[in-house]
Amino acid sequence: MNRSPQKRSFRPNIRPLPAWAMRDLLRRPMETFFLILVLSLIITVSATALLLTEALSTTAQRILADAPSLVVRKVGPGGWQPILAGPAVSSALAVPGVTEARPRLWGVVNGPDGPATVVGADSQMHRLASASAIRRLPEKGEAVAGSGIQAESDGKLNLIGTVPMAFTVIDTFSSQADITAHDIVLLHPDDARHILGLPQGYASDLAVYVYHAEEEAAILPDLSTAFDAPVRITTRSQTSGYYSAAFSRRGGIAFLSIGSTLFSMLLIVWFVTRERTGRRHEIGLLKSLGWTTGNIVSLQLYRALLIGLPAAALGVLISYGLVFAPGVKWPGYLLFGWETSGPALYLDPGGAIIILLELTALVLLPFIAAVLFPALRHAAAAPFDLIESGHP
Amino acid sequence: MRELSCHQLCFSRPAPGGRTVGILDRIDTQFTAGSMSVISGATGAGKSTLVYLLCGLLRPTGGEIRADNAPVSRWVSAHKDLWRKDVGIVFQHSHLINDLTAFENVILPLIVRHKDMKEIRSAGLTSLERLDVGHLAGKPAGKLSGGERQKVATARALCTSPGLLLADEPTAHQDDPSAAHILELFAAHARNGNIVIVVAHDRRVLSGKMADRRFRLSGGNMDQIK
Amino acid sequence: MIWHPFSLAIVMVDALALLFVVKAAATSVRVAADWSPGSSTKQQITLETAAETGAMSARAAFGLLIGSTLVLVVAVTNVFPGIVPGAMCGTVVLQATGGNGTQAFMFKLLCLGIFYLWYILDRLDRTSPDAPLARMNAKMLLLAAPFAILAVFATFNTLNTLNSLDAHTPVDCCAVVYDQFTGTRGVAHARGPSDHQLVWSFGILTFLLICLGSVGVFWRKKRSGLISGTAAIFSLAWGTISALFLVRVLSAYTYEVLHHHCPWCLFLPEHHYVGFALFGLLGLAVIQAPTAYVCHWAGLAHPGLAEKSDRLARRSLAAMIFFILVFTVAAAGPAISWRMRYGVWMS
Repeated sequence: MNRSPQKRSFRPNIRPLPAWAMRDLLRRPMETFFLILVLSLIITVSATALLLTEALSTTAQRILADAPSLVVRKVGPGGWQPILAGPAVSSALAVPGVTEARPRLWGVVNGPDGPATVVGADSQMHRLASASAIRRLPEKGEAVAGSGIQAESDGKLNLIGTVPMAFTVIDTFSSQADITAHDIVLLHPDDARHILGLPQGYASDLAVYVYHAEEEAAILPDLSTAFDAPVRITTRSQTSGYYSAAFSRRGGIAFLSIGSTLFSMLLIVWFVTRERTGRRHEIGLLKSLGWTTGNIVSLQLYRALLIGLPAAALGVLISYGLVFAPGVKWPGYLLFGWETSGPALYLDPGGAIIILLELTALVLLPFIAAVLFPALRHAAAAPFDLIESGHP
Repeated sequence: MRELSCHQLCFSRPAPGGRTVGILDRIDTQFTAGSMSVISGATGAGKSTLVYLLCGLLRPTGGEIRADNAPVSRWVSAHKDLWRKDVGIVFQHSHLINDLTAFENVILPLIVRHKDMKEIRSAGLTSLERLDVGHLAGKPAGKLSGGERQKVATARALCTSPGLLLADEPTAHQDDPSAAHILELFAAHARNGNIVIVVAHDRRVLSGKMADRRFRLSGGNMDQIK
Repeated sequence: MIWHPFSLAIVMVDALALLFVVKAAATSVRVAADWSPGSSTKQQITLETAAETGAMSARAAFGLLIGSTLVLVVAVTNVFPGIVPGAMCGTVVLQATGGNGTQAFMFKLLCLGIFYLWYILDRLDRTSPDAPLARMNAKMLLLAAPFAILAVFATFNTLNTLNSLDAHTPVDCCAVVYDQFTGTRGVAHARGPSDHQLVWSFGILTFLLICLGSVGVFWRKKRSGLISGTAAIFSLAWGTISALFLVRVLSAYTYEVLHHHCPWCLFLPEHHYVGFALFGLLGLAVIQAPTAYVCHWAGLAHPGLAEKSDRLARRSLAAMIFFILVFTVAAAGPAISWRMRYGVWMS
């Protein structure tokens, strides 16, 4: 079949070598398609694991930005103990740099489907209502529940703490708040105190706020000596570091667990892209026609990039959809065992760059190396030997 | 390239039993720009080996080849690859890539010579037209006849206007008018100030009047007969 | 112990670099031992083609090592502070590695320096058809290989230490920086040069290097070895003094805080990642004079390369002047801006 060269798709401004690399790939379209498909799959799987953990970490950091600067808990021989709210607040406020100290009521009780975190609604919780996260704060006998807490069909919620209690669920937290509110039950302070067995005047812990975030660590020694009883104080940066480490290590686990699959896929890529005898003859011919070793390696590099870059773009796009599109459940289920839809997640530009760097290093570079290594071996061979090796 | 010369050029191949078989023995000659030289000889006389040596694909086992007085045969492979950008070769067996079209085979040497695709396309098509095979441009090389393949290989060698053109049996599969046309193209290329060396045992080449100089290879030695 | 994905990324880039280094070194051993220019033997022809592959592998290794060093800096300054408790920049991260991190950077920089010199000589060698520097370049690659291996090993240890850290143990980042001035390490600093001495040393060395560079560039061939050799020694001293000057004096104007002598905070987004540019310029400025000297030396050893090596040496000295001037302007810019705004220096 005659094909007119005028109809070929070479455009005037395209550099010849990349254009030829494209033509070279199209000589074996199925092989090229297969390579792009396999590489896209590898990148989708890796990027989903990395994106999900990075997004969780970023989202956790955003939430922690609103958390107290320090949290003070009283410790005794038996573990955590309730803290006497009034004197604790006075002691904290006496420390220079502390702008606010707020006793908090919270604890874990048994819910209908497992543990639930009970939180007593204090005056600051009005912000939730004003931010439209909930319609109103609960009165006595009422509760606002997270999406993970299932009430009875009549709207009643039975919780068992120091005493069993039943509440009427008046509202649920929006799914946007799932990352923090999934297992939360917000109660009237008196109800919370009652079910948690906290005496009047006592609190679970003390939330302390400072003016400068940088002062958190500096204020810690003064704060710990300000209390009569032994206390354990946690700073926001410690909590944030803990979450970061936990999420990123989960990302590491995910990546390692799929590592063997990635490795086998890269082996397939190497197997497909390895130089054949016919190809060796071509390389010899090209060298005899004035191509240098550098030209031949550049051709292979362009070939690898023409496969790798679209595959990377496709893989990242798919994984972005899997992580951030609402309603996609299985990445969260596979990585974290989430039974329900994942929470709304965020990714900042710095995090995105880090993910791209990780993907480049973990998938793209090994792929390019797998293509270049055999190419290097043949590209530098003596052209006469190469021509002879494939002579028909 | 103004001059290509051989100085005491020797080439031998290893043979079974640790022996070596001499193919070329102390050849001294020079080829100058503007002339077309024809080298003849019996089958197995070493004509193709000489072509491979002259274009730097093989390295002499003795003596040297100089291009414009530079000892190209002593150069390291990487430099010889660069030097070969000014050399055009027509192989005895065409050496076309079968799944590429005739046009794509022709432009192979042009891709790395830093021209844009427009220039490359124009040069490739012009070269095919000069060999009267423009109509075959889009045909896969694997479907061409022996003579057509030889013409496409010649178009490929000529499309870069090389300073040194080496042709190994370029008319072997051609009819008389085509053979004459090819030789005319070679002579014109020589007249443009390039070195053209044709290796053949085709009588039409040997008896033609295009060649400025004639050599005969025999027993490893090369004698000038014209 | 589970690794952070960014750690896995660094290990992967390092492993690939090592693969190419090993390939290049294996070829270099053969080239250093058996190189026989002009010979027609099969061994020499194979060696020539292998040397070319080796050079390409070395280039790939050089590129990957630059990449892995940059990624390591990004990791230490912008990623790992998130997992090292109390860390806000690279200071505590490096402290948490127990010396491995510093070693990794030292070996990587040393290795990059040797690779850069090799790269220049390889380019020079490629200009000559008989590759007269092939054997010397092979030896240079063999010199770089152990440092590359040590760099990769130290990086692995660094990452291993970081990923084994207990995320619950608090460390105070700023305390480490302040401790250097108030604790035992302050004694060492007290013996070091004062800010005043640093300013003068930097000024004098900068002036000397610009003079030496100018003489080397414009005074053709005469005593060029002496000039580039002296410039090489001075540039190493200039690099050390400049780094100290940058961290101890000039960084205050970037942070707009006195006595926060932390080199790693310069790499943070709140300071516009200025550390990458400043330390990059510093490195480029320091390597130019040794490059000029090596070129001069290559020209002496191989007269056929004399003209090209002389041209390359002069170009390197010109580059040195350029990078020194750009570094000085970039580093001193915030200080000058501060002086113009407030009329006083920070001291």
